[in-house]
Amino acid sequence: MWADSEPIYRQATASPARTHRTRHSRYRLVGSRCDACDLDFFPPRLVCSQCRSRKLSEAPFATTGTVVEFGEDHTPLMGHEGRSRRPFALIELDNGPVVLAELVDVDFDEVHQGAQVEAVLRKWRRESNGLYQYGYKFRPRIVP
Amino acid sequence: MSHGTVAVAGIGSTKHGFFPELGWRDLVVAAAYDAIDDSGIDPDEIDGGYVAITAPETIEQQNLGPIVAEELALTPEPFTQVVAACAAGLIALRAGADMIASGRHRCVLVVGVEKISDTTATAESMMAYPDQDFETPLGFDFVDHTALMLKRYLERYGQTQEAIAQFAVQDRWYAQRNPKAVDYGRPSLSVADVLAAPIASRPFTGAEIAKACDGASAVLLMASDDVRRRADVTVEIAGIAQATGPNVLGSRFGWPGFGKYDIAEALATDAAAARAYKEAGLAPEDVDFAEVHDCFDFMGVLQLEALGIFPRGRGATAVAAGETALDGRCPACTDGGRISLGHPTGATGINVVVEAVVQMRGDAGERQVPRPDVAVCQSMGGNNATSAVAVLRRS
Repeated sequence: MWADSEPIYRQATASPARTHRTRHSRYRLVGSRCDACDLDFFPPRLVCSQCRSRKLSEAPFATTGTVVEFGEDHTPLMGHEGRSRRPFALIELDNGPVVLAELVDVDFDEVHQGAQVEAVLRKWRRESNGLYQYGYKFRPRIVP
Repeated sequence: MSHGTVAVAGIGSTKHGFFPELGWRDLVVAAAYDAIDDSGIDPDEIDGGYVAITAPETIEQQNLGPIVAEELALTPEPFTQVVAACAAGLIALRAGADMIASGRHRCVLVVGVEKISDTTATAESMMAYPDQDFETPLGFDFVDHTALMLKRYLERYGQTQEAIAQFAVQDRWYAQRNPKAVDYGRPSLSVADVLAAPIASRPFTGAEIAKACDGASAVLLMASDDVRRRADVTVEIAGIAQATGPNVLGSRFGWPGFGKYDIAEALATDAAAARAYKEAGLAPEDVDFAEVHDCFDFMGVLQLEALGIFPRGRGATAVAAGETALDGRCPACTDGGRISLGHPTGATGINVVVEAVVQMRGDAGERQVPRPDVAVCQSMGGNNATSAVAVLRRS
């Protein structure tokens, strides 16, 4: 008889270190900027895609941006069933690159290209190691 | 590789579908020996090969090269596993062609397999391909990513989803004439049927998406001169190439060399196609039919544009006008494609060549292309993160 405590066999379970390494980017949108040609990158890169310089600096990008393209997932994946319909978008950060993110606190019908949005910190998913992983999502920004 | 050095000596494939009673080894052995029998070659002559697979973690088995060699009783010949998202098959085939072209090998077996039904969550099993740090944890899969690409395409090029849906209608039509297809025996579809299916990710409906399934396909490669001595019809690999683009979706905006283009174009395929055509000494105008990566109806359209078959932004109009139908300018995905043949991802990139050879031999029955002299085969991995293109010529 299996004991209730018998762990489920998994070939690969994420180490907490893996997610910990990306915390600054997930929490504060820290990317990288090429020292030589000033190009911005998110996710952060180690080699500039334009000049191949390896001299890049950490760059915390604006947490506000504009919707470039948007959609709505009607078939949420395992671990994301909390919302049956999930709007999401490619967002051009103000003074920064384009990122893919979920949209929250908004209905799909209210989203449009050029909509102003701001980053909020929300739960992304529960990892295979049981820990909760948090990161940026975006919501409409009230522009004064 | 100089063009025309390598030719297809044999082809094989299993039926596509869900086979709970069959394991990945059953599928590999069936397709591989299908190809060996088709070629009439003594297995002793095979001196190496590749095994393509997309998601080996679903079968919890890696290093398929030696395992397949052992299973096929072909040890100690060198066999290697190739994993490259859904393009693994054609990328493995390119590596196999290079083995022959190098002069080090005479007869190479390239087999691709997927046993996706051995996992309980097929959609989740593809989530190893978006960026693990910043895309996958968001929970948006390739259906969602491609939905953004589709919307951008429709807006940028003034096309309609109705026009694109004709690709799914046509995939069903071809599959009704291919007993190996998952949709074989199923009724015809209309554009209205496709668009009325439940939304998967707005604006995509479930009827516009590839059917992930089990299956295996195999190709035996030899030097063209060796094949010519044995066969009536020789299908040469006139040109074959692979190219890459950035994997992260947002990175395509402002990527050096992309100019004004981003996610509404398949730029890795552009690059691979240019190289493959150059090697073949052929142009898109020479292509008689195309087997492209239609993991979505929209993606099929996008790849046809990147291959130069139709002008950029005009592929949807061409498909809607019937130009990819059997009597059109360039019949496409004549086996039913990923949507209606089915999409055993590791086998897909080999099966595009298998179907091209069936057509070039004149063995395609009711779905026979009228003038199959030059084919272009294409396979894409990730969201246009990598793409392989092969130009085949009949002689």
